[in-house]
Amino acid sequence: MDQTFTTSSFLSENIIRAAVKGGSYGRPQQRTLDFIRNFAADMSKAG
Amino acid sequence: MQNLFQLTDDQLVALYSNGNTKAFDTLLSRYQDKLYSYINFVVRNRDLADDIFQDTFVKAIVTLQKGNYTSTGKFGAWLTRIAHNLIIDYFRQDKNENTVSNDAQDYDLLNDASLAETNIEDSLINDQTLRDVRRLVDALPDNQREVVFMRYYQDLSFKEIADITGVSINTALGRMRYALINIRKMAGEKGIALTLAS
Repeated sequence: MDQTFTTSSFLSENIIRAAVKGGSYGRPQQRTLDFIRNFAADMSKAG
Repeated sequence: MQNLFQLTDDQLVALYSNGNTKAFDTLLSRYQDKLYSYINFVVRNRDLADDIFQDTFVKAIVTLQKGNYTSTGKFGAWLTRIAHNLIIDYFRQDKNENTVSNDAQDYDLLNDASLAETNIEDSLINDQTLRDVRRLVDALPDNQREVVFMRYYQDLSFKEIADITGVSINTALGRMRYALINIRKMAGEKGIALTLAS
């Protein structure tokens, strides 16, 4: 493996990392969060 | 009054087990975006991601209430492992029902118009390059895409990735290696330079 290939691989891995880090993958819907909070409270009361 | 945000995960788990629902709300706030991002990154469907996210927490709550959670200081990894198993279950069931699998979604990279129109000059714009690379990552097989996300977005070690996904460290390393090979191969085919303009 020559040095050029090593440097190139290092750079491309950093680009992939930056691309993944910079992406936006959304957030859970509010009704989903409300359901989970209510379920947690109900289970706690039941327990 | 105790500031819940300053407590560790295991301290919050203990409080919730003793009836403090605010402690659970704090845990949910702490992990909701990170966990949802992981699920949505893998399944690539927001409605499905919401369902799996909800099922993950339902399973976690039941386990906590039964007192079956063992404190190891790795609550986040535990949640991710539950989500990983639910994703596997979903795709297994989906395959058995002969519906379209996630890998076979009509995501044809080679015929993606926006990507096909990308030329070398456009790739010199950093934002465009990063968007192109995200498309390449999105086109990876599920198990490779999952490892890429855990490694690069969640900054997990290969040991942690192996534990969460239930494979050996060598398998996790192998998936990452193939992911990089595939990304570089696709980038080469599409003329996408894996460098940024300085």
